[in-house]
Amino acid sequence: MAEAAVSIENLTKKFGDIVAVDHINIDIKKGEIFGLLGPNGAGKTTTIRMLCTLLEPTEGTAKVAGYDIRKQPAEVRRNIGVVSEGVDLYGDLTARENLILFGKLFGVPKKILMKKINDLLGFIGLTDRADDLVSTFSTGMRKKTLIVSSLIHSPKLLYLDEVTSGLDPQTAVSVRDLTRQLRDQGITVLWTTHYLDEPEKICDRIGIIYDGRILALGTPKEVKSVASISVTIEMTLDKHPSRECLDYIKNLDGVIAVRSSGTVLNTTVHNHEASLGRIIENLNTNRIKILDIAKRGSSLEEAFLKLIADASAKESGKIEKEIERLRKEIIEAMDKIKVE
Amino acid sequence: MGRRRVAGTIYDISLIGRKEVRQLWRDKASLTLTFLIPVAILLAFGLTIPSSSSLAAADVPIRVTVCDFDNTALSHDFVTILGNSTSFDLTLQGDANKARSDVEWGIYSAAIIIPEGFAVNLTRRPYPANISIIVIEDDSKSFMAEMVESEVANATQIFMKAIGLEYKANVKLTEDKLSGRDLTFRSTTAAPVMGIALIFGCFDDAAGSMARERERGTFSRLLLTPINRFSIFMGKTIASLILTVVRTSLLLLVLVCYLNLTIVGSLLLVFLIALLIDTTTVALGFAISSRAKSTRSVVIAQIAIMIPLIFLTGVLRPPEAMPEYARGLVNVIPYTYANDAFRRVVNLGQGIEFIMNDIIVLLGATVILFIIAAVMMKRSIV
Repeated sequence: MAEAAVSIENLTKKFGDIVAVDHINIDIKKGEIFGLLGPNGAGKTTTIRMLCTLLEPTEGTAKVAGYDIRKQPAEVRRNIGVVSEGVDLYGDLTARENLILFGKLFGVPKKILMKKINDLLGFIGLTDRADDLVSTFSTGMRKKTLIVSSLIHSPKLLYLDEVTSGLDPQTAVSVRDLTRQLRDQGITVLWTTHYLDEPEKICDRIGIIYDGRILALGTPKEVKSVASISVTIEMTLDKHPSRECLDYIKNLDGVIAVRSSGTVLNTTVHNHEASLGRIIENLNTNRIKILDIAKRGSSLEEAFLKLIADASAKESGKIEKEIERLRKEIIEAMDKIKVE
Repeated sequence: MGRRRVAGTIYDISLIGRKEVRQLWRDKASLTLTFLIPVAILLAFGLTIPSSSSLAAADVPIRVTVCDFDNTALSHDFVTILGNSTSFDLTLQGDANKARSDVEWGIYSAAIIIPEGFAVNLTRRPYPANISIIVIEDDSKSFMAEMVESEVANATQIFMKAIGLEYKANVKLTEDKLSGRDLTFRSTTAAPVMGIALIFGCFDDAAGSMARERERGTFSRLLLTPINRFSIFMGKTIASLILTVVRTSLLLLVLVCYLNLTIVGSLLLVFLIALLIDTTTVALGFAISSRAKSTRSVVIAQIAIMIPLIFLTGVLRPPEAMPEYARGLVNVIPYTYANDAFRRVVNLGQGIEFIMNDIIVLLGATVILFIIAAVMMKRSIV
């Protein structure tokens, strides 16, 4: 089996009592775009910071491009590029000056450095702004310059931490296109985001992180199936369905939710093949014609929300059990006192 | 309408005021310094300015040596009166050249030479001749010459009264000033003040720069490259050294052209001392910046450190005139030695052999502070 580009083993980070990253295990394959999806405070940036050696793990370790983040941090840094919150360019230097500085710090030979800078600036369409101060750049331009500055030393891995955050849709699309091109050139990308629709657009595999823990890992399709997600059937009818008709559909086995808006009926079901037949039968009985029918697949957003809801339920279930146990202990203790 | 506007404004003012207090309350380090700085300034002021009505009075005995070349009963009496003075810590010695050398090296703040013929001149009849006592004094130290002369004059008056010659004879103090000139208060304080001014600039070169880099995220960017902490420190230090050469040149121009100060010693030595102040301050700045949360914290730390230095490093009052407990503090501050070096070179024209101790202390402080900075930065890498 080919060595993973990044191999994370029981990686944990605690800040006092707060567990920001809780024993995560991930293998990121070479040449893939791996998405780490989670809400704010889930542990994405903390994970990135440990993987780029800016933060020391509390437990566990990781191997990045074959180098241990604890034992060989300098080698790790040589093989990664990072675009993350709290990592920025010098606003009072020009784009070119920033790239020259970081190129030289990474030991890029002088002979190839200038050509590489010109190529990279051309890649992001900023050749004509190369000699302008970075502080004069728009957010999108700055983000693109940050990306190419992290590529100046030809790293094997690129960490893009919420890189589309704050960008307009057009610029976000161009950043995603840029990322795909980098993947096609053989660079492995770790992409973190809290935008739920983004990983499906760009990532080969994703990991859903919540409260410092990985809830699911795999391709977007695999993650959705882990979440046991339902399907929504959208039907356009020739007339409004009656209250009785809707109640009947709602009470069918496998039907999760029914929404009616005018003549459009949306039914969310677990097993759409079994449910669809009974719904159509009911509509026929009520003399309602189906003009159009479409199956709307479950989205990653729904998978994500379900996984988090399940995780929270498990957590609150644990808490309830704990409360019950304590309640019993108190009652036993009080009974003992009464007897004495 | 007007009343509502006034009430609204008062309410807004109270909201902002409460927000400011809440923010400061949450930054405990800055809050502590906000209260400590004014207290520290006043405490430092108290250590510097004497409790008596005269600025030239010493609160503690200053080390003075006496050469009694007359060696008569009268001269012995005079020495006894000098020794009884609470302002002098008196030592007898027999070599005037050594006495002068000791004053030059700072072992004594002054030397009093009682010449041969002292008693003879006093007992001459019908009228005693004018009697001269030579006082070798280090007038480059603020108020030192005045302190010594004042106390010798006082002792002389007591002595003359004791021997019944008060108003009948004149004991003249012949001042042998190390500088060979008439130094004013401005002259004695200008060079050390220049040292303090340099510290302000150098501190921002390191601490301010590092705090800004952390706030903007460029420091993290640097740490993601193969560069090590030593290279970052040295790079910023070298930049600061270059700036300090320019700063020192400008300050010297101001000293000479505007303040009419005469620089007696080597300009090269002046620049050397300035560069050592720079390296010490830059190292201190790095150490502080590793703990500073923001540029605001750095500014507060800068004020907390720099302003008491004006009082505690011999600018306004020589360390030997300060109480024992203060001297202990003053002697561990590297800038005391920087100011001493400036004073010796600028006002006395002394060479490198006289400031070697000061140089060694500044170099040592630089090394120690850099080590502290490196250790502290390792623990707070983000």
